[in-house]
Amino acid sequence: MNNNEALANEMGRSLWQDALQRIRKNKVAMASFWYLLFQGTVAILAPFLTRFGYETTDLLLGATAPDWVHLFGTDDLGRDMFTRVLYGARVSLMVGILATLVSVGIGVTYGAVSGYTGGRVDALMMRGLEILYAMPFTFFVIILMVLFGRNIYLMFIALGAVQWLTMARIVRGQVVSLKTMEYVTAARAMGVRNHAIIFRHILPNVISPVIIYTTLTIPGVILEEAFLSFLGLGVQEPMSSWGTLIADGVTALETYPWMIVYPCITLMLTLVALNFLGDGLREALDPKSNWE
Amino acid sequence: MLLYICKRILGMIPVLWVIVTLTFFLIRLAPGGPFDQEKHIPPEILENLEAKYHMNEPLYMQYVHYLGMLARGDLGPSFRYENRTVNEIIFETFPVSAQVGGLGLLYALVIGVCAGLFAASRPNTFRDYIPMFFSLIGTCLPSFVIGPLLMLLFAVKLQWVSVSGWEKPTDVILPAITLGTMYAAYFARLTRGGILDLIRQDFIRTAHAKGVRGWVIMLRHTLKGGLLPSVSFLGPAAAAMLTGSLVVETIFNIPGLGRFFVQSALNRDYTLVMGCVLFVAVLIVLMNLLVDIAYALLDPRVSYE
Amino acid sequence: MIEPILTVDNLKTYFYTRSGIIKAVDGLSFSVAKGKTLSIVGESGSGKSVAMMSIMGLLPQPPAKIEGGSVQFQGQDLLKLTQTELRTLRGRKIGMIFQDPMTSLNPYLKISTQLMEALTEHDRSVSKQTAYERALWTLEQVGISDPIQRINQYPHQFSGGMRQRVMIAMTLMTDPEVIIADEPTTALDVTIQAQILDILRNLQVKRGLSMILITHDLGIVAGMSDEVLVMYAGRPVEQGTVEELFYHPHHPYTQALLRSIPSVMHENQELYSIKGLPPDPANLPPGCPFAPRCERVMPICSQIPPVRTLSPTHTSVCHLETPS
Repeated sequence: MNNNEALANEMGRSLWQDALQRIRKNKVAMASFWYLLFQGTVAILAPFLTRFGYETTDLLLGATAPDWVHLFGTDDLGRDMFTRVLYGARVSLMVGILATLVSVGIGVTYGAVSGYTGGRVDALMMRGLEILYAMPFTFFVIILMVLFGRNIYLMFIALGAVQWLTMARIVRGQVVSLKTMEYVTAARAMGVRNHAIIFRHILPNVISPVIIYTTLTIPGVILEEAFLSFLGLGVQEPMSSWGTLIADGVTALETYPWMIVYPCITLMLTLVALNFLGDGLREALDPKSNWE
Repeated sequence: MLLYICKRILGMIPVLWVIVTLTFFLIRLAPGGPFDQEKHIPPEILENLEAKYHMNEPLYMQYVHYLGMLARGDLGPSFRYENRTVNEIIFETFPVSAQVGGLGLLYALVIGVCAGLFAASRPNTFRDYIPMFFSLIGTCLPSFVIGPLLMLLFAVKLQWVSVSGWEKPTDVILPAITLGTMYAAYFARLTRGGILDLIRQDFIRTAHAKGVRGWVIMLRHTLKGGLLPSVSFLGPAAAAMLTGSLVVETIFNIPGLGRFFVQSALNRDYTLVMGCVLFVAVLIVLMNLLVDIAYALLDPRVSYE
Repeated sequence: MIEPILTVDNLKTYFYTRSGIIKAVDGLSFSVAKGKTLSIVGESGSGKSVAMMSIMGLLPQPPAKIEGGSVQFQGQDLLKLTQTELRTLRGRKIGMIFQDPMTSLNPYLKISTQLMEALTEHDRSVSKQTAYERALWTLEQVGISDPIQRINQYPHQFSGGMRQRVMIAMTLMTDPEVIIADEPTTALDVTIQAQILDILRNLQVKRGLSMILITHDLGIVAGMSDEVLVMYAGRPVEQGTVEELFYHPHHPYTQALLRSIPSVMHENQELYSIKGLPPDPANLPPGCPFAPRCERVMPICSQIPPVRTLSPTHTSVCHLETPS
């Protein structure tokens, strides 16, 4: 029976394969994925892709408009903008990823402990979360950065510590529903391959929202870093991030517009791609969105 | 309802206490002090200064003293701006930030909700795709990118408004747009999503079956419920507009609360930093309360009796 | 014979989906006589609701598309009307009551608003006061006590049965000629069901309404209707008066449906159920769609069955008695 065979195939295919197939069909998400991969590779290979050093100044040259030597032009100190945008990508992407990992670590742990323990501890931890929601976090990050010095590792932690609240909520919600599911599983005969159920049904339920939310946190963190760097509280000269480059560009807006255009475009493309990828992942991993 | 509001306001106190305590010890744990930058203060004057600000007392006494001051509604004297209290500084600078933030929020709401409604009225057509495309661009346009661009266009090229500063009434326009654009984009997405969620509901089918006109369905039947996601985002958005104004105030050179905050942190002006944090925290909590009240007004099923 | 008020002829509604064309309604014809009740019976997914939504122009197009047929009502073909023309008919001439009263009323609006707009949207010369009084009156008609207080409440303050009464009151705001009731009691408790059906029947008698009653409950059919149409997989199967259908069912599907009614008389008898599942609407068998489940299936059933006229009012679509 052709029909039954198709059905069996569909059942046998795991959620992940299913999701993979769905996201492969999503052209926008795939384009975003390839763009991000390209952006990441270029950032890692930055030293091999350019003849200039990111801190090498050429005061005699000064600011020049883009040409074949300096693809993105040079800044007022004669530094190659292409090189600086490439190196800026290293900082921005690294901060984005590492700070997000910090936030995922805290959020998942907090949410899982809260949801798993339940009862009073859970209520208390959720009340704590509510208090934290009232915190002016941006102010806190600024205090941290100002008072403890502009240290890139501190920045990872500070930015990560800001972003975990929603993650904790999501994970807690999933864990609480997971707990009730466990009872159901236990009640069903012991002979059922439990690990199969856990791996096929329960784990994905926690992991997929975490993956989706992580993808959507990265652009937030990248923005936050750019924001701090823009205020002069992020990475220090001569290191660059997209935020510092844009801040530099603002001061020369009227005279050397290329100094702001390229970092802005790169930052925006990355943010757009991350958002598209996050939306695509949500559609692919959340079976409820099937009908959308 | 009144009882509920009172309860919520009382409930603020422990939240604010936690925030005050955290901030207090955080900034005092940090290396450096408020008088570090003044290189040549004679020791006796420094001692006087420290006595004036209770800096010579043990940390816990300073803490108790500060809480005592707070209980009286006093945020204390500024460490850096002589003869000025934190209360004065906040009351002077906040209205500036509030003008920018308030106008920005209004702009974000009007543009966002209208765009969302427009998009939701014909889902998955060009009338939907075009505003949603702009909304996506908007969510990826941070204030420090859009600000300079607006400045370049309207102040430098067209010369409609001045480049920066805070003198003329028109000086509020560009900062407000800069601040509001990203939130307008969020509001557009939320409104569209909220309305599309409702359009699928049975009661909309009922309204169609009654022969209600399309735009009446849109405005009467879906708007109230469709606004709920935007309303719950209003709290965080309003708070973020105040903190987001840090950048805008820097770009446009506006003497608002945000700039004072960054400056006070750099100066280690303990009382001013604390005052700003506490003030913003109170604002956030109050905004959240307002959001909850608005929720109850929009959704009859929600009741706080 | 009483003249028909609404005549549906060869209605075809298809859904164009990723997994293929679903023929939700395929060649449906029936007519409703003035002041009478027609019941449409069928399992869920048999296309009853889709047919009604097609008549009302309430289906989202796409994915739905009305591929053919006509719906004659007061000298017009409803399927040829523009959306605006259709809107002025909806609610004013043809009222509709839906299955789930819990979700069919707008939770954000007062009952008064929802009642009054049913009138004011069609006649903007009606004053608010008139509309309000009319709303109070309709609430009384459907047996809601203390309407003056209730009218200012929100749907969540009403119970399921009360909400369905409000739904009925809403259709009475104007003076409709036809009421389409789409499983009006399925979501309600049995005791409430009887009350709602009573209200509907009384109104129909009092005001001479025509009614299309969609249900899968044959008990309701017997008590409420004059004529019955049985549907299966989007197609008409058998049509006739209540007496004809209940006492002389012709089509094997109708017979099976009647046999699956639990009977008080034969307590120990095992409940009969039709074997198999309703067919996949995207993948209908050729010929008679019921053939795979039919107890009297014959080789010829893979061909499209003929319409057999058993009496002026009784037709059946089946190969039985087709000379082989």
